[in-house]
Formats: sequence, structure tokens, C-alpha cells
Amino acid sequence: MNDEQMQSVLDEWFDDTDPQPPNVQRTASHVMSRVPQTRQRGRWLPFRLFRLNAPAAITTDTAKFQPSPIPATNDHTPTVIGRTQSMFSPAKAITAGAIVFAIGGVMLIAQPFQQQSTMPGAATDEGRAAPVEFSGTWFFGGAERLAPSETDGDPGTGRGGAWYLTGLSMTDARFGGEVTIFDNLDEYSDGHVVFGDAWRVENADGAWQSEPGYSVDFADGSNSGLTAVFHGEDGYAGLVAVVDMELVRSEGGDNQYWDLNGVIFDGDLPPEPEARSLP
Amino acid sequence: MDQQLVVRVQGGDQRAFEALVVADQPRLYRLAYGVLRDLQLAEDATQQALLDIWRDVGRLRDPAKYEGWSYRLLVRVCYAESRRQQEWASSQDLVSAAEPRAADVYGGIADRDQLERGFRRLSMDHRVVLAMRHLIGMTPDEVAAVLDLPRSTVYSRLQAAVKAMRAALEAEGRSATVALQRREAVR
Repeated sequence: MNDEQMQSVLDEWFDDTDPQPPNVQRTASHVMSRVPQTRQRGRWLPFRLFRLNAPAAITTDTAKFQPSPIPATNDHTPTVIGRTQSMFSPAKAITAGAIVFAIGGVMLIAQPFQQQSTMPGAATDEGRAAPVEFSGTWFFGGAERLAPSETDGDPGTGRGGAWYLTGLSMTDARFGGEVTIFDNLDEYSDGHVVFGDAWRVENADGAWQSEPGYSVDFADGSNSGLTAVFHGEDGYAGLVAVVDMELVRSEGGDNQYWDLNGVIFDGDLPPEPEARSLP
Repeated sequence: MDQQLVVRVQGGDQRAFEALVVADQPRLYRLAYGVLRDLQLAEDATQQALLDIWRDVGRLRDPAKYEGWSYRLLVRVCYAESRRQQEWASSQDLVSAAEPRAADVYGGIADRDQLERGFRRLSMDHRVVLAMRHLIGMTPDEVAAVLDLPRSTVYSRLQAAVKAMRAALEAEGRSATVALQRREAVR
């Protein structure tokens, strides 16, 4: 039997064994009874597969959030609805400062200076520069797909995806620059997704290469977040960044971003602890 | 599929979704059965896929692509079902696999059973492309687009699946012939 004959045998077999669908009203009844417990999710999140036609990069520059002037038409003066002024106000700044000082004071009381680093076995920071805190945001609005995410035969998997992000903000310029995300993911039919990600940050002075990090999308669409470790290269060789990364998703999913809070320090991570069975 | 209906479902309209379920169930069930070859599993998979459609339809950017997108969700559910159901408990009125009834290759109940057994031995990857191609009638390019696979992967899977089905058919035909000859020799 040649290929063509086999193809027609298969066509015929599929047709012959094509069953009548079950009662459609019964199916509808079963499905609709579960709809109230099934929350609709927003748009497909670009971080998962980055299939969005990405909108223009989002920026934190508040000036760009101002509505653009709208020309009057038909002698009507258009009404601008929404915020037209900066969210900054002196009262808010003073309040925020007072809160920071209050928290700092409480922490000093709770742990006087002379008691710091006296825990048995704790390393001291003597002779080392203190870690420098930074924060920032990596937006997905301008994500550009660099490499396809192969499905590995299973539509619920993605392998080897790579994405270049633009529209970033970072309080420490050392961690700013161009960001590339490399991802693998396994998606489950109940909505859970397990991500394995690695990041590379490059700028004119050096680069940061992350260790692999793992996070989980829960069934309700929220993400577990993770803490990632980056090692400096070139101009940042010898530096380490430990970064808490929280995935923030807006309604609809278009404006999701990683909210980063971390420290950069000169030195090594503590030795890797070894889990063991204790007697 | 009415794109306006899809848009309404994206907006959370449950009545529109019920209409979509009624309209879409036969189409989805057909592929589910074509892949899983089990009436109950296919019904379960169809219902789960419809719920997944309700849950994720907001992520469908282009309602015009609903049909392929919904097939993709269904295929994903079928993969999950197959993982859960390692041993297929068929509700079909199948002939026992232990003894082929006749050797009338390419026609008749016996050959349908041989094809059935051959198909069940295929991997899910091969089942899916074969059912989409020969049951739904998609072109290999359309299958590649729906499954987000390279064209070359779809072509190679199709070739391998057809080859495996032909081998199963011919092998069963030979074994049936041998069984009949032995039986006649005993007589």
C-alpha cells in the first residue's frame, strides 16, 4: 500500500468511526454549572509566551502620563477625564519622610548598634562595603521576541524563549541597561504555570548574569515571585546582586511588569547551606 | 464562529458563552474523540476545554482566530487526559485485541479494529497531527499554526504516524492470516 492509499484509508477510517456528539444540552448544563466558579483571566500575559503585539514601551516619566492636548471641534471644548496633575505633593512627601524616620527609630531601638553582629556564627561586615539597595521596574510593554519558544511537542510547554525588554527604570544605574530574559515554562491545564527564567543585563560598563530562577503562576493568575541572584561581569566583576522580583499584573495583563528590590554588594554569597537529616 | 459572540464572551457574557458552548461542542468533541478514542474521555475533555475557553478567552487577541485557538486548548486538555489515563478503557464496541477476526485488509470491521489498535499505540504527538489532518481536514500548515510547531515538525510527525499506522495494519493483517492458516491446519 502506498502513501496515497494509506491516506485515503485513514480518511475513511476517521469518517467511519466519527461518533455522534453527546447531548449538547447536557454538555452545556455541565459546563455552565461550573462557570460561576471559574474566574475569567485577563489578556494572555506576554511574559508567558510574549505573543502580544506589544504596545509602546511604558515609562515612569510622569510627564508622559499627561493627556495630550485635544483640539476643539465643533466649537466644543473637550473635557479631559482623569488625572491631569502630578501625584506628588509636599504633604505626601513630609508624611512619607516621617514614616521612614519612625520605622528607622523603632529598628534602632530594637537592635542597638553594640549588639549587631554578635550572633554566634554570624559573619561580620568588617572591612567590606555595605550593600547598596536599589529598586526598579522591568516593563513588558516593549518586549521583543528574540527567539521562538519551542513547544517541545506539548502545547503546554515552552522551551528556549528569549525576550528583549525595553522601557526600564532603575534607581541604580549599574543595574540599568538592556535586559534579556530567557525562559522555559510548563503550563498545566488547570492554569498553573511553572517558569524557569534567567536574565542578563548589559550596559556600557558591564553586565549581570543571573542564576536560574523559578516562579509559579497560580491558578488564579497571580505569580509567586522569586529572589534572583546576579553575578557581575566586566566592569561589575566581583559584584553580586540579590534581587527580589515581584510580578505585578494590571487588569487585562497588558501592563505587567517586574517590580525589583535588591542590593548590590562586593563579595561572595554566603556558602551554600546543605540540607541534611538531623539526628 | 460568530466573532461577535466571541467578543461578548470576552466581556464576561455568560449567555453568550452558553450559546458558544452549544455551537462549539460538536466541533470540539469530534477532535477530542478523534485523538482520545474514548467516548467518556472525549466528553470530559470537551467540557474541560470549554471551561478553559471561558477562563482564557480574554487572552485571545484576535477573535477571528478563535477556532484554531480553541483547538489548541482542546489539544492541551487531551494531553493532560492522556497523562492521567495511561491505560485506555475504551467504551467502544471493540473486538478483542487478542485475536483478529479476519484478514480482509482495507475493508470491514476487522480492519477498522486493526486501525484502532494501531492508532492507540501511537504517541499523543502523532495522534494529534493525524486527527487534525485526516479528521478535521486541516492542511499541515494549518496544523503547524494551531499547535505553534514548525512546519517541518508537523510534516515529519505526519509521515511517521502514517508509516506506523500502515505498519500496524500490515502486521495485523499478516498475523490474522497466520492465525487463520493455523486454525485450518488444526482442522
